[in-house]
Amino acid sequence: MNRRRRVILALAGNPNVGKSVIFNQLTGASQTVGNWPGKTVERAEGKLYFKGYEIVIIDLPGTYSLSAYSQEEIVARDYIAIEKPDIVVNIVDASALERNLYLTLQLLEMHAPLIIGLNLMDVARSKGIRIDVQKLWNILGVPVIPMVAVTGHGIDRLISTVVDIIEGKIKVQPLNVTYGREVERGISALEKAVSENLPELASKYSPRWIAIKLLERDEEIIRRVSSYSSGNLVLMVSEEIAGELEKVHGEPSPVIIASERYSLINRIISEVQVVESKEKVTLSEKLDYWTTHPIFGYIILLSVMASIFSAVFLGGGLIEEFLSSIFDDYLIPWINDFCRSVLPEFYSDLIVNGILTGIVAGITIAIPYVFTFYILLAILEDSGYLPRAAFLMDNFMHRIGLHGKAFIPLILGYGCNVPACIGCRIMETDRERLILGFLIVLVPCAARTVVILGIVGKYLGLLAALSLYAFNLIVIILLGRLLNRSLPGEPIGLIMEMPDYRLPMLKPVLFKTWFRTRDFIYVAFPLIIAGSFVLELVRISGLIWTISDFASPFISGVLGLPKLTAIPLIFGILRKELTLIMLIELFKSSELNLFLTPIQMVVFSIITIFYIPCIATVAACLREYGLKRTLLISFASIFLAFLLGWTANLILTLLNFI
Amino acid sequence: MIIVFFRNRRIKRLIPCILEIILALKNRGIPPNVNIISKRLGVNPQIVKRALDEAFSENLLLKDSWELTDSGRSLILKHRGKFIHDKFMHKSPIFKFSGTFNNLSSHLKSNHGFSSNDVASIKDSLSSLQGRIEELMPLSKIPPKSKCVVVLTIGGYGFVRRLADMGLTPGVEVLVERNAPFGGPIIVQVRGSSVALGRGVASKILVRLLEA
Repeated sequence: MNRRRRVILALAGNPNVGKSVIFNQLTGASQTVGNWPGKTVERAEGKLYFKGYEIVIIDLPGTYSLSAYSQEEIVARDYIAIEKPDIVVNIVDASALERNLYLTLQLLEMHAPLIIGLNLMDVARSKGIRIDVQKLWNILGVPVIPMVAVTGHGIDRLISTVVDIIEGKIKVQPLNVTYGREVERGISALEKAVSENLPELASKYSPRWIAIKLLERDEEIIRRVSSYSSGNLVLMVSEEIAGELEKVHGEPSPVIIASERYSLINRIISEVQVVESKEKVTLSEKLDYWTTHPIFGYIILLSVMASIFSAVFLGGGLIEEFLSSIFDDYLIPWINDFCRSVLPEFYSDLIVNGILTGIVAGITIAIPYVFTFYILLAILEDSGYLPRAAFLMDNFMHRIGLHGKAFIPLILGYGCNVPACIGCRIMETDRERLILGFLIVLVPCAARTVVILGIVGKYLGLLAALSLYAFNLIVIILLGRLLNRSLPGEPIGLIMEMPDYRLPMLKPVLFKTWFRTRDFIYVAFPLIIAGSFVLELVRISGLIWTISDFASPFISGVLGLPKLTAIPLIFGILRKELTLIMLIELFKSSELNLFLTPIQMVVFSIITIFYIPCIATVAACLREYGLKRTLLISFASIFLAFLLGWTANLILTLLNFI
Repeated sequence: MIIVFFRNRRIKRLIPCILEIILALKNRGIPPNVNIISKRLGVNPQIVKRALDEAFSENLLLKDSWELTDSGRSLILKHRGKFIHDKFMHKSPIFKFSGTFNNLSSHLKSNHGFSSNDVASIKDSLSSLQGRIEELMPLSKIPPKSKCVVVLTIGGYGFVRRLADMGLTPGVEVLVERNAPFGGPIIVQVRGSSVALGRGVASKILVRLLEA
């Protein structure tokens, strides 16, 4: 009796149905957030103790369906099919029952042990939608719990129903999802072929489910089936059956199956749902009207972006200043004195300049900028504004081979690349994420703006600095188009739900922010500290001069820069402003025009803008893309930087001669 | 001489349209005749008659029952493919496709990046279409605040499945909420939720406009 029984519960549902609110209500602070193995899909897990049960709650990614459209859908269905959680709670938006039941039917089809959390009952009521919950329960054959998650209504009942089901107090008779006569005939023929030829796969997933997925022409399942030697036979059978269905119905087979699911849903809905004429326009609809308006929408977008910018970079800047003043004025001198009194100079330098500087750099970036950005991102996500911004910018983003959603990370890159890189995960496919990642590391962030203004702006004028920005934008656009053409796969168009506006709640926003920041610190800090340690080692040991000598044929010969500039370029990896600061230190003068020709200034700035931004961004990339792609992005950007620097040197020198 | 040449060309072009109408009428259980066809097309009955004679003699249509033969059906398929291709896949009105549907499918594969599966899916949708292809409009051209019915979606299996997952299946009623100018995306109400569709996506969804 003392031993707690462990129950695995998975939360499934469409995006924007309040799933994460329910997750937070259930688990409180006992969460861990990470990625699903091998995927850039967020995985949140938490625990709940109830009546002697230890309930482990897995928050599956929000999906509209369980086809192979995105990583999220594959993660969700593989978890349900292979890990077989004890209970699957399907959160359903009561105000959009028709679209939401589509996923529910697919979950029933997988024989998932289902409970329906019918959320947003209040929104449904305000839209004049009335649902007969008991009747829905009877038809679906699984418990349906009405909920209003933001107020916590229905949470307790949900949990006690989970326990009742586990203990067998509630009997369930899940609805058998059946299709039309021809489709059913096709499914059962194919099912037989699957269980005869692919016993291994059929034991993992159910044969009927595989048969349906094959008829839906699901790429992922086709790939898995064809990896078996007997798979080709099954694929031939499925091709034949699908072809026959298509001939009879005259539609592609995935559409036939989807249509039949929807017609079943419509039969269910006509039984359980009554829509009364609604009398007034809701606030969400009014907001929607103005924020997607062809004129006012852009004005609102501009002001939202401007306020995010100022919040992140003024607010973040203030916090950074405050934190660095604490470190610079008190902590560092104090630790420095202490180290010097007990350790020889070599080691104390290593500790103070190496490790401590790394920690300080990490804290002064992560806390002010990343944390502030995460809060704002969470508010934007939870309010439902992001899809509106994506809608407005879709047209422009298509010109660089992406769609509207990419706009937000890209624009944030102008402030700091770190949050921008993390923001890439809002894109649906790997392909889009990779293109966006490439482009974002090229966006000149605030630190690089310091360099551009401090060198080119100061000595060659503002116009020259602005034309560098323009040049950068052109390179980004061209590279975007190039990547879009050359990467495999088709660019996907925008297909995006526009959810209702909702008031973001403080607790979910803070939870989300805290878990993401913590996650970032885990990944970024070791890298930043190690990087700064290695660089300090290189400096103290005098290796730095060897490196700059070694690089000189390239730096002076090819790029036409003074030999010394290799050093600031190397240290710029730590933080981009360092290139300017170290240049001044190395020349022992802030009059850079005495040491650099205008051409050299331009070339130096171009290289600084384009080569891999800084170690914190590399860490963020690593977090989002994994090692291989991070290396690819890093080296590609270094290569691009030197290529552009070399070309600029060549062209400008030529122009100079003329 | 020249007049005869142009008139013959015009008749040739009319044949697939006439076949489309006959098919549509038969589907609705209305026996087709010359007068209805000429009214539908807005063309002189004399010319329709000539075109019909031509169709009978080329064995596209059976003389007594007005049933379409296999070659008649493949002519319709080709006509629909050409219509979709010229109207929706090329921005410039100059590019026109000619040749059989097989030529068209290899062209779709080599020039438009479709896979063989995608082309098969497009062929499925085109050959099953009930009604005339010319009556359909891409969703991207529907003005805001009007209702329409999705008739078919053009694209590979993955694309049509994605649209179906979001509720956009043939036969569903759609209300256009916003239609951004200058090639921007559109917002539609479908099955109780709002969905934004990029212009490229919306132009691959063919709909029939309902009365406002």
